[in-house]
Amino acid sequence: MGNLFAVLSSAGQSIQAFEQAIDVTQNNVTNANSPGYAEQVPQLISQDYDSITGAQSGGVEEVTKDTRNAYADTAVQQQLSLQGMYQQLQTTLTPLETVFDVSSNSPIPSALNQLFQSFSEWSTQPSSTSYQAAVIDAAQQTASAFQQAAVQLGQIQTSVNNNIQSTVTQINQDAAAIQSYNVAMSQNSQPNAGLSAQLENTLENLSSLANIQVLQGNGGMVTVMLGGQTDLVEGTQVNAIQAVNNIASTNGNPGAAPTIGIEDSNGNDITSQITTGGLAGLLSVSNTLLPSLIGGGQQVGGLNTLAQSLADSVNAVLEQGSTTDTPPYQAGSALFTYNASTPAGIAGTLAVSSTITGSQLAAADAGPPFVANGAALTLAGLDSSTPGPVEGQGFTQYFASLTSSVGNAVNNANTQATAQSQLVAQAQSLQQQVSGVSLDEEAIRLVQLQTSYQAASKVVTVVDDTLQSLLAMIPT
Amino acid sequence: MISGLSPSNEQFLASLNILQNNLSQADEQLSSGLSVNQASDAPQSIGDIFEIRSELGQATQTTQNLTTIQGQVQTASSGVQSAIELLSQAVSLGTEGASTSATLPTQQSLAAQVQALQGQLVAISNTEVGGVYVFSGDATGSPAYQVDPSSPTGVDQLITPQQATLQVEGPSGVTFQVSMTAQELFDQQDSIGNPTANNAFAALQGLVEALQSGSGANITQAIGALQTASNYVNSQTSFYGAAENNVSSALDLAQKYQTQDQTQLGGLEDANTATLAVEVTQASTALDAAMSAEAHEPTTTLFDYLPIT
Repeated sequence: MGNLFAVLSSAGQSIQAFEQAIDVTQNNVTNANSPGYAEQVPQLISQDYDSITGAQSGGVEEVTKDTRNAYADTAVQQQLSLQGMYQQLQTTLTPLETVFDVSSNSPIPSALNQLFQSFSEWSTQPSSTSYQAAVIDAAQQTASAFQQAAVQLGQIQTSVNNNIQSTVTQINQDAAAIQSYNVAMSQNSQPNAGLSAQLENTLENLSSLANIQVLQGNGGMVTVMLGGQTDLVEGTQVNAIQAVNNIASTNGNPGAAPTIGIEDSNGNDITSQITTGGLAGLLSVSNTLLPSLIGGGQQVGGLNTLAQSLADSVNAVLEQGSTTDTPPYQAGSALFTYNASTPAGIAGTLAVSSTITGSQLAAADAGPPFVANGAALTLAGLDSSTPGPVEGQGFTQYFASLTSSVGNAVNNANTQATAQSQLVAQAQSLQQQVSGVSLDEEAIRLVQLQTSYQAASKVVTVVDDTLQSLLAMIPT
Repeated sequence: MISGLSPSNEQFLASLNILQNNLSQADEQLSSGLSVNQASDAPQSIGDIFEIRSELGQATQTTQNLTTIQGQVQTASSGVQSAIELLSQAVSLGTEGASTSATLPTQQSLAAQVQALQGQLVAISNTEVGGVYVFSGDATGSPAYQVDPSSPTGVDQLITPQQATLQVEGPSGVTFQVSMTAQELFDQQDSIGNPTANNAFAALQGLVEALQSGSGANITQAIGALQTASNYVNSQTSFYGAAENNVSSALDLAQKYQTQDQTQLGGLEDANTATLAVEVTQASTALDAAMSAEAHEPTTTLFDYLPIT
C-alpha cells in the first residue's frame, strides 16, 4: 500500500517536471526571434530509487540548461564592433565626396583651370582691360571655391564631433542598462533567460559602438571593459566615459580645431584604447582624416597648403613682374590675400585683394631680357611647371591627390562594410547554431513531453484504480 | 544594428544589398555616361583624370590664343606686302617725275600722289585687328604713327620707344615672337634717332620734297633711297613667313593635343555602355533569382503538422 502511494507521488512529481519542461519549451517558441535570446533546454533527470521507502522511484526532475555560448557571443560582438566602425566610416566619409567632387564641374579644379586659362589669354594682350578683368574674376571664383570647401569641411567636422558626443552618450546609456541587468541578476536566485537576452542584446549594441571585452561573473553578472583596459561596468557600478576637446592639441597650430579625446571616469585619456566600433570610426575621421584636409593642431591640412601655395606663387610672380613696358619698372600688386596668422584657416580666408585693379596686374618680366608678357606666361604655366609649386606637384595634381585620398578612404570603408556585413551574418549564424531556437526541435520536444505527460497521467489513473479496488476489497 | 531577423535572413539581406549596390552603380554609370561619378569609384584614376582635364583646358586656351594670333600675323604679313607694293608705286611715280619730259606741275602732282601713299603707309603701320594694333609692338592698344608733313620723315611717332617683346607660347611650352614694330619696318633710326637708309617714311618724304622741288638729281637720289628702303621692307617678309609657319605648326600641335587629351579622358572616365548593359542584366537576373529563391524557401516548421485539438 505504501509503495502505491510512493508511485502516485513519483507520478505527480513527474507531471510537475513535464509541466515545467513544457513551460520552458513554450518560452523558447515565444522568443525564437527575440534578439539575444539563447535556447533553454529542459533536461529530465531520473530520481534515485529509495529501497527503504520506495519514495521517488521512477520519478523525474526538470533542470533547465542554458545553451548560451560565451565564445560564439564574443565572436558576434567582435564582428559587430568592426562592422560598426566601417559602417560609421561609410556614413561619415560619404559627404566628403561632395566637397572633393570629381565631375567636370568640381568647384576647385574648375576654378583653377579657369584661372590659368585667364592668365594664358591675358598673355596675348596684357594691356587688354577685359582680359585683366577676366583674371581678377577667375581669381575671385578660385578664392570662393576654396572658401566654400573650407565651410563644407568645417560643417562636416562639427557634425562628426556632435556624433562623437551622442555616441559617447549612447555608450554610457548602454553601460547603465547593463548595470541595471547586473543588479537584477544579483537579486534573482534562479537564472533568468529573458534578462540574459536583454543583457546580450545590449552588449551587442554596445559592441557596435566600441570595442569591449566582457568578463562573466557570478550569477550571470558581467564586467564590461572598454578596449580591454578600462572598466566601463564593474558588477553594479558604472564608470561613465566622456568626450573632451583636447585644447592642448592646438598648441602647434593656433586657431585649429582641437582633437577630440575620450576620458574615463577618472579623467584619464583612453582615446587610444578605442580601436573599433562606431566611436573609433568617428575619432579616426575627426582626429586624423579631417585634419589632413582642413588642418588641425599638428598639421596645416592639404586644402590650406594648396590655398597658401597658390596665393604665394601667383603673388610672387606678380610682385616680381612689372606693370610698365619701359623703365622705371613698376612692380605689380599681390592678387590674393589670406590670414597668415591662422595657418589652418588659410583656405577659408583666401580672397582677392580688395584694392587690386587690372592695371596693377604685372604682365611684364623686367628681365633682362625684358618680355612684355613674361610674367603672364609664367603664371599661365605655373600649374604645369616642374617641379610643381606644392610639395613638388602642380595645384591641380595636388588637389587630385587629396581627392584620391578621400576616394580611397570611402572606397575602403564601402568594401570593408560590405565584407563585414557578411562576417557578422556568419558569426550570428554560428551563434544561432550553438544557442539559437529551432522550432522543429521544440515541436519534437513538445510532442515527447506531451506523450510523457499522458503516460504519467495514466500511471496516476492506474494507481488510483488499483487503490480503489484494494479499498473495495476491505470488508465493511 | 541589432534586429530580430534570423542570421540566415540577415545574410540574405547582406547579399541582396551587394547585388542592389552593383545594380544602382551600373544604373548611375549608364545614366551619367561616366564610369567615375564619385572619387571612391576609381581613386587611382583621379590624378590622371584631373591632370588630363587641366591639359585639355590649356590646349583649348592655347588653340584659342593661337587662332587669334594667326589672324593678327596674317593681317600683319598682308600689311607688309601692301607696304612693299606701295613703295613700288612710289618708285614708279618718282621715275615718272624724273623723266626729262615731266614738267614742274606734273612733278608737283606726282608729289601729292606720293604724299597720299605716305598717308597709306601710316595707315598700314596703324593696322588694327580685334582691338590689337599689329605694328605697335608691346603697346598693342595704341596706334604707332600719325602723318605730320612738317616732320623730317613726314610722320610722328605716337609710341616711344617702340619694342616688340611679346612672346607667343605654343602647346609644348616653346615661346616665339610673331610681331615687329612699325618703327623696325618703316622708320628705322640710328642710335641717336636719325633715319637710316632703310627708313621708308624718310625715303618717301625725301621723294615728296624732291618732286616738289623739281630737281631731277634730287628725284633720282630719292628714288635710290626709296629702292633701298623697299628692299629692306621686302627682306622683312621672311620674318612674317616664319611667324606664320610657327603659329600654324603650333596650332596644329595644340589641336592634336586637344584630340589626344579628349581621347585619353574618354578612356578614363567614359562608361562602357555595352559592358554596363550586360552588368545591369546580370545583376537584375541575380536579384530576381535571389528573391524568387527566397520566396520558395519553406517557411513551415513541424508545428504546422501538429494536430490541433
